This record gives sequence, structure tokens and C-alpha cells, in this order.
Amino acid sequence: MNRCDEIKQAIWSSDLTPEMIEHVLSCPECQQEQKLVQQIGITLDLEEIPLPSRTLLPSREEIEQAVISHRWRRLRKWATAGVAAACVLVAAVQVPNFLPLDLSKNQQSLADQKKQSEGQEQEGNAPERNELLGAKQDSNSLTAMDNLQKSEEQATTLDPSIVSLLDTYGWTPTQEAFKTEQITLPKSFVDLPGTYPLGLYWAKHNVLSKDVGLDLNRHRGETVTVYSIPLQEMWDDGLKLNTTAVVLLAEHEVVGSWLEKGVGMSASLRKRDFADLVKLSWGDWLKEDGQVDYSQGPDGEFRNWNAEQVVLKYYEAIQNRDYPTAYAMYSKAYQASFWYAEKGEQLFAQDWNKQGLNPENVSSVRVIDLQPTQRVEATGQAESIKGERLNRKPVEERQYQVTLDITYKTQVVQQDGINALYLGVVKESMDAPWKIDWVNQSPR
Amino acid sequence: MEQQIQRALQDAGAMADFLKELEPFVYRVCYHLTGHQHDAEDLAQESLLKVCRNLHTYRGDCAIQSWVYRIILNTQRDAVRKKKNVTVVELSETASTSDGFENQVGMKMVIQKMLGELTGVDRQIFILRFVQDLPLKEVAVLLEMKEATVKTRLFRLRDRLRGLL
Repeated sequence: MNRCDEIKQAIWSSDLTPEMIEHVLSCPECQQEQKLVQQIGITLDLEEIPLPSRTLLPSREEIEQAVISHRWRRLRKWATAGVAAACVLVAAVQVPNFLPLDLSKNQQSLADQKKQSEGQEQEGNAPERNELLGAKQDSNSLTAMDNLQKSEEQATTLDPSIVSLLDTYGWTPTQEAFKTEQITLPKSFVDLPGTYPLGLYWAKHNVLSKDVGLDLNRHRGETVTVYSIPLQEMWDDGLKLNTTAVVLLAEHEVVGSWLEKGVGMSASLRKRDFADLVKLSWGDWLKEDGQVDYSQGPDGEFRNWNAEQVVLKYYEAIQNRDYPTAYAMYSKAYQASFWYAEKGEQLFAQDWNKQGLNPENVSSVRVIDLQPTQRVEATGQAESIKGERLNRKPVEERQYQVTLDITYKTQVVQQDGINALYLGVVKESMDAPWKIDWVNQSPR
Repeated sequence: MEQQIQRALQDAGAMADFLKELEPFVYRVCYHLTGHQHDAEDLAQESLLKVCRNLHTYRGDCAIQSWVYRIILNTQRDAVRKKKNVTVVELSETASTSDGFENQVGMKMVIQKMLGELTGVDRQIFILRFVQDLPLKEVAVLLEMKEATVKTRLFRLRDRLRGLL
């Protein structure tokens, strides 16, 4: 096999070494081979895929059934571990009693053994057993029991005002450990354009809190303790969901509270969601609450752009590292989706990170092509589940397939090179500018 | 991702969200593998159900996409086995080259034409390598084949494509 054949094989199997790349740069024949391989990738990437004609997700019943099985499996695992732990514990306590018997069975009678055993205890051998027991107390079995006790302690040490509040609305804390974190509420619940939507988070959730007479506006700028408390009662409106109460405490006084269920869904303790409470469309609420001002600032400028221009300007801003402008081009609903994107154990995420597609993960980007695409109507109806409803009534929505020559700082869901992404753009109300509503690897 | 999976195992809503996120990716892979919308829908639906039921077996020792690929590929294999009347036609060395391709049509059309003729393992190799951009080693692991075998099949595809151009 000559050098070119070897390199062509490496091009096809993506095994090029730096030396091979050098060769390719100076060899027209190998360059042609590489071009062919790149062309295959681009052609397949850009291939138009018909939208599915129906939802492909399992039914609610199937999902519930699967999750119940997973829960049982987990429970059985713990139960098995518990039995094993109990056996270890029994062995730790009982085996020392039989040790002398084993050691001396060929030499002494049972009575003598017992006597000797008692004698040994009296002579100070008993501490050895205690040491053995002590050693077992460090094992996982007893640690698990300790944890259980801690959980029970935590449940009983829950501030009475919290228990009372939850009880008022028919909610009961479970024996699971609750989580707490200290959070300083922002001084304003309105965000500056292009900043992470913390103000919007509190403004939206304050709507839920106010439904039980607790207004966070009075505590802006204060540091509060946030309790996330798993509840016994499940949410059940067709789809059963675990529930968690979020309760904010300032100096032993409950200052705010709402309910969370699933991921990114919330409701008031009275089981009413945002859409139930505001009685306005999302776009109108944003204006009424002062969350947006389309007459000035970046939004005033964006109003001069059409939907395609917004997409192009978005990538221009990313290329120029002008992240505040890029983020200011996000619709408020899209901004809100970042709260739950990668939040971990926290109440909400603290940054714009989402599957590595966030602007700050891009090293360089150039738009190669921009094409309108059809919306997938069948796959999932937005806001269909109570708790995630924002009562959105956008004036207009479009989606585009954008072909990019892009390099990432960290390649999470896409590799560097020519890639296709899909973007939804939306006008959230009549006088709103076009905004980016989602960015995804697939159309919606 | 790990936390999201843990939540999905315990909470039906979180599971629904998790599957909803995976759905476009799964459908896209299935479409490329089958080349037909309705077959892709059936394969994607079955695969998503298997993801839902078997998520507890995901150990986190590979990317979730790789784990999902494996489910899709196994599901497709099972489906082909069940359809006893369906004959899986591997790419033939003598497949038609006389459908007007002598006339220097665009490479795009040639690739699409070739993809249209590909079925079975050859199609899986082609899609995993060029659509999913996986290295050959990973393609071999996913298809439970020797890397050398995958390589041989891939080069056969290359020769076939070269012949069409």
C-alpha cells in the first residue's frame, strides 16, 4: 500500500496523525479524498428530515409504570442492603459469644466453655467484644441507620411555622431529609438587558407565593434560608409527580413559599399555576410587571430587525464576544428555561449553561446558511402540563435551520466544524422585537 | 446529566422531560438508519420506550448518546429479525451504476442515491461514521464487530461511491 492509499484510509476512518495531515496539505489527491469525506458529512447533516407525524414518547401510563418499577428496584436494593447490614450487625454481636466454643471444642466441655467464657469476661476480655461492636458501628450498616435518624431529626426539627403553613394547604413533609440553602434576594425583580434572569425568577415565583399571602417584594435584598422539603402527597392531574415545597424563611418567619413538581414546574401551595394566577398572557404580564421595555435600550434597537437579522446578529454578537447583546436577544421564556437547565442540587441554575450550546462555550462561529423550516406540530405541545404553563400567546413564531462553521471551547453535544443548529424566533407580544426562543440540534 | 437521570428514575415528570429532550435526537438517528419516516417513527417510539424501561441499567461509563445508540441499534436488529418476510439487502458490489450517474450529477445526489441503496449493517456503519461522526473504534464497539471488519466494509462503501462519481 503506498502512502496516499494509507492516508486515504485514515481519512475515511478519521485516524489522521499530524504527519498525515501535513501530507494531505501538500497532496492534491489526498485533499480530494478529504473533500469527498467532508462533503458526505455536510450532505448528510443538511439532509431534510420529514417531521414525525405523531409523538414518539411513551404514554403517561407507560412512563408511570416504568418509574414505579425503577422505584421498586431501588427500594429492593436498599432492602437487600438493609438485610445484609442487619446480618453483619447480628454477626458482630453474636459471633464473639461463640468464638470460645469454636476455639476449644476439642478440649473442653460445653459447661467448661461457658464457664471459661464468663471468666474471660470477668477478667477483662469483654472490651474486645465491645471493640468489635465499635468497629461495626463505623460500617455502612450503622451509618445508614445514623442517616435515617438524622433524617428523622431533620423532619422533626423543621421550623413549626413551616409545618403549620404546609398543613394549612394540606401538604405533609416526608421523612426524607430536606435541603436548605442561603440565598440573597435581588434588590430588584427586574433584570437589566442581557443579565442572567434572576429578577424574572423571583418575580414569577412571587406570583405563586402571593397566592398564599406571602409577598417577597417586602424582602428584596435580604438573605433568606430556602427550604426544599419533599412532600408525602403527590401531584396527580393525570400524571403523578413527586412534589417539593419551597419555603423561604427570614429570621424564623415564613416570607415566601410555593410548590415544585417534576423538573421546572411550579405552582402555588393552592395548586394554582402561573397561568391560573396572572390571568394575562405571558407577553402582557411581562409588560405589566415592568419586565420588558421595548421602547429603549437593546430591545429598542432589536425592533428594527427582522427574524433572519436577529439570528445573524445573534451569531455576530457571539463571534464578537458580546455576550450581553447575545443574551438580550433571548425571549423571556427562553431565559426562564435556563433556571432548570443545569441546576444540580440548587434551587435554580446560576448561569446560562445549557448542553454546551451556550454562547460563552463558542470559540468562533460563522453563519454559512440560514433557511426557514417547518414547525413540528406533533411532538409535544408546549405548556400542556399544569405547572409549566406561562399562557404564552406569541404574535408570531418562526424557526430556522442555520448552518454554522463553529468551534467550541468544550465539545459537549457537537464537534467542531460545519454543524447545523435549529433556532426558534418569536415575537412575544405585538410591540415586541423578534427574539430567539430556543436553540437546539433538532427542529421542533 | 447524571442528576437528571437520577431524577428521571424517581419521578414520572422528570422521566417525561428527559425523554422529550431525547426524542429529536432519537428520531433523527432512526430516520437516518431506516431512511423512511414511518419506519423511523416506529423505531424511535420503540427505542424511547426501551430507554424509559431500562434507564436504570445506564451506568454512566459512556456518554448517554452512546448508550442510546446501542438501544436503537439493538431495537432495529430485533425488528428486522421479527419481520421474517423482509429481506435485508446488503449493498451489492454490482448495484446499479447506470441510472444516469455517468452524467456528472452533483455529489449530493450521488450520496443520497447511495444512501438510499444502503441497508443493514452497511447503512449503520455509514450513518454512525458520517452522520453521528463517531470514530471507527466506537462504531465497531456499538455494532459489536471487529474494527478491521468495520474498516473493510467502510472502504467497500468508499469504492462503491467512487464508482458512482
